[in-house]
Amino acid sequence: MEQAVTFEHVSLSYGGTPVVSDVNFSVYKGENLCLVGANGSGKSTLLKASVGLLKPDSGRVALAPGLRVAYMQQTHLAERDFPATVWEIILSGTLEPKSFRPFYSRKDKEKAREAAELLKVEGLMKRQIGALSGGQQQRVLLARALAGGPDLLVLDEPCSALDPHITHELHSLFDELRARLGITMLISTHCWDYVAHSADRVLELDARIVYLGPTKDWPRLPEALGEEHHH
Amino acid sequence: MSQLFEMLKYPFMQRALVVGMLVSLSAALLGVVLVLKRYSLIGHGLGEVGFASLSLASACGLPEMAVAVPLVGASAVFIMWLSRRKHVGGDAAIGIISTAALSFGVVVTSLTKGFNIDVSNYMFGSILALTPGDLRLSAILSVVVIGLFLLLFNRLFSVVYDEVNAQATGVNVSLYNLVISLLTAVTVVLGMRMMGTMLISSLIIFPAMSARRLTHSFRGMVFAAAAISLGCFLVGLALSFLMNLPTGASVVGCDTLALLAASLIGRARHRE
Repeated sequence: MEQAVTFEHVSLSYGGTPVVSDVNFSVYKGENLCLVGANGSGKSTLLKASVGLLKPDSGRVALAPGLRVAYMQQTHLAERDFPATVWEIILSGTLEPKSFRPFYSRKDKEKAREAAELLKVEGLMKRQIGALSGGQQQRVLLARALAGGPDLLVLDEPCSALDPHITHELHSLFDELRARLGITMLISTHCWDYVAHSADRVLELDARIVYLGPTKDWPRLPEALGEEHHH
Repeated sequence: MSQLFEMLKYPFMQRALVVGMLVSLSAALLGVVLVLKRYSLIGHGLGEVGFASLSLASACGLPEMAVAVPLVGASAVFIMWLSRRKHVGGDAAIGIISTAALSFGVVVTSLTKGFNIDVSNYMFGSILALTPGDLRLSAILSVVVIGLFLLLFNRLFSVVYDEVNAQATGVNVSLYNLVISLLTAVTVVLGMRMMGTMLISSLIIFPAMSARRLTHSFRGMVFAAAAISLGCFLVGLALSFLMNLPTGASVVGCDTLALLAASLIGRARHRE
């Protein structure tokens, strides 16, 4: 299988404190790899390194050449009066990092519209982002991520600030996106029931890798399925 | 009304009008970015570096712009670098540079010409201050500032709205922050002779704050800030001429009233 991202002997620290040490793994194209672990286990740090927001203290993080990456950080809820419409935000997802075109092309606008329709936010285009609910805002940010046509979607606890109903809705949406677009996904999450049902592989982290393998062999799978019954 | 037409007959007023409009526009555009990034006090910090530059230029008999442009530009880069240090932060960086520059300016002034009418003009602005040379330079630099802003408009939005996401998708955020700091430095230098080094930052902060209360899109905020800034400048300049007031204070007075009005309108809309 072709690799999308590869971590080779990667150690990371945050503000001088070591967080992750000597991690080796790859994310393969087309798979859904879920990162699980307690708070502070290094999930977010690892995701930040995968998109180049953090440089490793040692080791190497390599992205496949030409891979388009979209990243959604943990809960980015807008200030209520931040002057930005849903349309402006989704459209900004189509910007090419290295191009200096001053205007959006017709194709960019089409892509943004398609992404909005996919996420069912096309009716909110003229609304101010801060006036939307948390769930709607997450959908808009996901639409922005998809507007750029990413090959890899990196999501850092996408449901952490949302209620169980919206969380469930977003999980179904992730499954649908994968089925329709075949995007590679790297997701950190505390929702074990989602991991149990949707992940191809699991990476359990506690400063180093505790488990990396298929979901069906994950030692905590029975626990994860049990959690579903609690919900 | 006839007095207003008469005002435009004076060459110094024509220069003040052109430079003021260009600087108001540049400052308003940059102000939108700086206010949304919560970095608007950099204008105030750079204004005080501008005061130090003017004092130095005057003491050494050098051309003001030739001293101010590099000094204020270098300070903008230094403030940005300092604010990225873990143990400093943006507010402290601006505080350090601005007070150090102000005290340097005061020392230079005291040791040379003393506090005279020139110093008061540096601090609070004068419409008589602009020479034809200033006009040419201001026009060129303002066009550069406005042109670059428009060229980078969409990218600036993505950096302002969500810097982390922009960086994750490969945008060189540090470069954009540097460009914004340098454009702000140029705008501060262009506006400080007329507005005064103490008041130039108001051109950056007030129109953007007023516009934020009236609009709900980034594009709308940019247009509204530009319109409010131009309007307040024109009214302020006219009042300055008619009532013999310092231009900077007169323009800031109009900007303050506009902010008050925008806040009331914004609040009334919110209740609807």
